[in-house]
Amino acid sequence: MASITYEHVTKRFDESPAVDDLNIEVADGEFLVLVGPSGCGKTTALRMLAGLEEITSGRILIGDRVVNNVAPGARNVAMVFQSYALYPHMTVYDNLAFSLRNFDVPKPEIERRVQEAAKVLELGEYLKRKPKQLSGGQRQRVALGRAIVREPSAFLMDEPLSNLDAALRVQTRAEILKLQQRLDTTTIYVTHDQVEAMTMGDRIAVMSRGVLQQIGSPEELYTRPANTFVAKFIGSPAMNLLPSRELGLESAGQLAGFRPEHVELGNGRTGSAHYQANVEVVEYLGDEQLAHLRLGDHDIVVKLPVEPRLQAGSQKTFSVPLHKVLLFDETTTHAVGTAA
Amino acid sequence: MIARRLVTRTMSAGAYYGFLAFVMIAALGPIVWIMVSSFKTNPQILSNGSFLPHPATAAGYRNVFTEVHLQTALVNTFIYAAGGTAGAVLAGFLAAYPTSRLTFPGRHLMTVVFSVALAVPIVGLIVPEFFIEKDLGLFDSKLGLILFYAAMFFPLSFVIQRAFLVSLPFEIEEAAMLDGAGYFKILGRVVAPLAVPGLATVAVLVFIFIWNEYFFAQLLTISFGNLNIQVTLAEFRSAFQRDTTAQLAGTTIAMLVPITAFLGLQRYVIAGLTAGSSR
Repeated sequence: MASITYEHVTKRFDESPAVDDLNIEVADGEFLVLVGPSGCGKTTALRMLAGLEEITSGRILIGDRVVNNVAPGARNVAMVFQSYALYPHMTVYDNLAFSLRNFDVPKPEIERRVQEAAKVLELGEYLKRKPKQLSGGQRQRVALGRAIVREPSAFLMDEPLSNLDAALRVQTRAEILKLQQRLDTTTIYVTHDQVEAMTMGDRIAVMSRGVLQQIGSPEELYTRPANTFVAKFIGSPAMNLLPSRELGLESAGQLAGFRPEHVELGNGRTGSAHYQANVEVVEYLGDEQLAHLRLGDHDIVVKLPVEPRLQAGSQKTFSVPLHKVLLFDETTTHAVGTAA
Repeated sequence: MIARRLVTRTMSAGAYYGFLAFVMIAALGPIVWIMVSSFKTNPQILSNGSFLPHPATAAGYRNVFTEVHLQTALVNTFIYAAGGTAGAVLAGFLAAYPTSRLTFPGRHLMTVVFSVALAVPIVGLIVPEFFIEKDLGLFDSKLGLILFYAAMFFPLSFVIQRAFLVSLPFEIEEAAMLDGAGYFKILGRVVAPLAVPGLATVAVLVFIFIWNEYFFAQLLTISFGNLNIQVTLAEFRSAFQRDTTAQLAGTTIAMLVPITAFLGLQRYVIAGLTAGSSR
């Protein structure tokens, strides 16, 4: 186990920056999720830590050791790849033991660690099988097993759940969390799925176009996003953003942002902004309803209790408490406070 | 209208299959004739009689080993084919791996130079190869011919193996790097086993090409102890013109080895030759 530090790390591909001046400190035993849309630089950041990409400038430290020029195998980190990257010609046992043999771990110790990993991941009966004889979920567990037998300083996970179906993804998500908590190993987990990020990370680092937008706890990112990108990216459905004047707020040059679940039907209480909007589509979800509204030129999504049922085509008055309305500078997109 | 379409379609199919049947007979006919006729007597062959031998005789096979000592040529050819194939496959693999998987200056130029060697006319190599072998003291030696074949088939080996390696996923090698494997361990324990179809394709093709090679074997070897099977059969034809049965028996034996090799490994050959054509 060890802490991990990115110090002004930049990576350029043909002069265009894939990661630009990244500064992150991950504490020993922490679970950090790197999240962002495709091409935001999150995987590149992870691969630089693994030693699979050279760093253009800056430093990466694992513990107190600068690893910029250390070979991937000597960094004592284990990576779980999106495609699992199992060795297809080796049995599950050999897949798990491969790294230990490379590091000249004595045979009895290899046997012990492989059997222990197999037990934890319920792979015992598959040890003699080849990867092609396993299901997607089992392959995923082998990939995890290959990482844990190493007893590394850190786990690096690059979208390890993206090849699983929805049900298995939820189950495996919980298994990874349990495993990480049990081993207490520093973990950096890359995903583009904000639900995974919210549910798994001690902290989340949101990236866009190679730049770190915000780092903080899931709650912090959800309730106090640093800019409009984070506000839109974290949360599903996304935060509504529209010029503040549309809500009758006297704050020129600012955008007002509010979460769909903070909207109420009707004029609301004192200290609320209210507006009239056309109901365009209503999605019935059983315990609640999602209504897509049109306010002027802007689309708004609201999440309301299932009663009273809204009808598409109707016009209603909605309100949102001012202390739930976040204001962002229209030019810089940075958060400037709340409307309350 | 529908009936006419049906007739047209049936005629097209008939012409199509007729053409394929003609090509198949043209390709396989001579081979079958040689094999069947190797069991006939010389008069039967020359009399243009029935297609099947009557009576069948194995005299040709006996003569080819007792009179021509084809066993020496067989052993030699096997040594040339196995040695040349091993050399071409190994050199091709060692060149194909870095040019397909690693990034370094001059990689593309190296790839072009290795590949373009395929386009050099073989006949153009006669004079330089003769003098190189002579100057190195390798003329009329088994080692000389093995090295020549390894070099001659290196470009083919390189091109096929590179096409195969390019299609392998990078992440497996990266996983091996993180698992602490060095360059040669990754090459030997991870890449080579995954590249078996590509290696097998090259091995089968090169083995067959060397087995059937006549031109350079005839140029670079002269002593009886170093001749390969093709040169031996050709010389046998001029020396024992009247023993057609033995000549056909020798040809049959010479054909059986590459045919067996191909049939046994054709699964790999097809996989290797179509590598990269689909995801």
